[in-house]
Amino acid sequence: MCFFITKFELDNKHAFSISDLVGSSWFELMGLLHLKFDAMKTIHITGILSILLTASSIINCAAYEMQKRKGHAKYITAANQPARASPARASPEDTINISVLINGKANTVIVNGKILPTNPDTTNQNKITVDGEGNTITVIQTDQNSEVKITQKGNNNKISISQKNQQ
Amino acid sequence: MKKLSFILAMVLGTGMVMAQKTTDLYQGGSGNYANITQTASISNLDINTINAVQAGSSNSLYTAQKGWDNNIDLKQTGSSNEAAMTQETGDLFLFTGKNTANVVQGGGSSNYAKLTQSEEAGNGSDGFLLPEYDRSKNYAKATQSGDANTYVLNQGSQVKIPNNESYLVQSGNGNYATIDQKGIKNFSDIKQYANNNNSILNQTGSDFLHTGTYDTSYSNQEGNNNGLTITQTGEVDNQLAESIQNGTGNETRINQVANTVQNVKSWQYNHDSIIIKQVDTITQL
Repeated sequence: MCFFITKFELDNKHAFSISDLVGSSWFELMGLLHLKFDAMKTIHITGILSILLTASSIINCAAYEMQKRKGHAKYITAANQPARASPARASPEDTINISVLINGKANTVIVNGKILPTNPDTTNQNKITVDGEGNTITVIQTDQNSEVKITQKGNNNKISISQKNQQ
Repeated sequence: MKKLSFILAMVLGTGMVMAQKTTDLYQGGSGNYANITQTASISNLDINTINAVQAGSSNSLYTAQKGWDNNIDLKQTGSSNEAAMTQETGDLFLFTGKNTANVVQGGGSSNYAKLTQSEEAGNGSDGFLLPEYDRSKNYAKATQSGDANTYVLNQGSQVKIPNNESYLVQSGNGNYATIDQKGIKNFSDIKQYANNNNSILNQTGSDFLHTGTYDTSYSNQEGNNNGLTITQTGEVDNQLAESIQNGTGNETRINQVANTVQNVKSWQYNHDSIIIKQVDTITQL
């Protein structure tokens, strides 16, 4: 499903970075978009073109879905996934933990293919939608004005939201 | 309008920054968990808002808000849901904001809600050599429908200044509520419908200017074998405890301790009992 990009980010063992995947290296070089991981495997998304990352992610997800349906998805294979239940027993898409640090405006984080429209304005409007079971979302916002809208459908989901001013 | 003008004056006068933090959360299903924290630095006049809906059973919600104004609107439907909420207004010299909570738990049974409202712990002084006081204004409204629900409310951390207001409606059997209010003005309205319900209300006030505190309680229990215990304690205190019990086997206990005005108005029907104890602290000296 469309959680592919996020899942890929969480797995630091992969040989290439997310910017390769979404074609944003040029923007990084220009200082317009910054992606990095910290020790907690938290994704840091900053820069005025961070919305492009979202769009690119959607495109990549769509492409991945098409390849997956054709039976030859090339980005994630059983070999490079961390140890988890086999697909026969449980769908790996339903048991992922995501920690997202959002610093910017009008970001959309998409898990399992749900996309919510964004309405950019003077305040940040970040939206997260999760479908499935056993998902965990952590959101940390350090902006003066912050707003988060989250919808979780399914059982045994967890959400942790921290909205605080930068000290 | 008056409040808005004041906030604007604060912003312009002290360079403080207004900020808004809002969380809208919907969780559908069972066994969901949410932890929401909204905090502000001491130099900020934050307005924190949480709108949360948990639809299903065995959901839990934990929130902590700290800012100028804190607002939470929670709706939980289903059974065995749990909510624990803390609201703390900012410690801003002689001024404070307001804590507001609206909690609805319905459509099931064995739900639990706990709410704590006060001012955040300060640094020992409210400025101008004045001691540190809790100056919060607190408002809580809760509705629980179903059986075996529990509601716990604590408003104000000190007895001198907070202004507390509470409204509670519980419909069903075996519900339990305990409300503790500390402040210069305490108001409570409790309504319980059905049988085997119990409410405990404590209102405590202490007015350091001796201009009078107010403890006001209205209670209405409709059904059988319900229990109501009200304790109002103050110094220069205007106390009113008004209760209605309509059913059989109900019991009301009212204790008032103060040195000014104490009023009890009670209506009971059928085989109910009432025990009233009023202590005038002046005659006790």
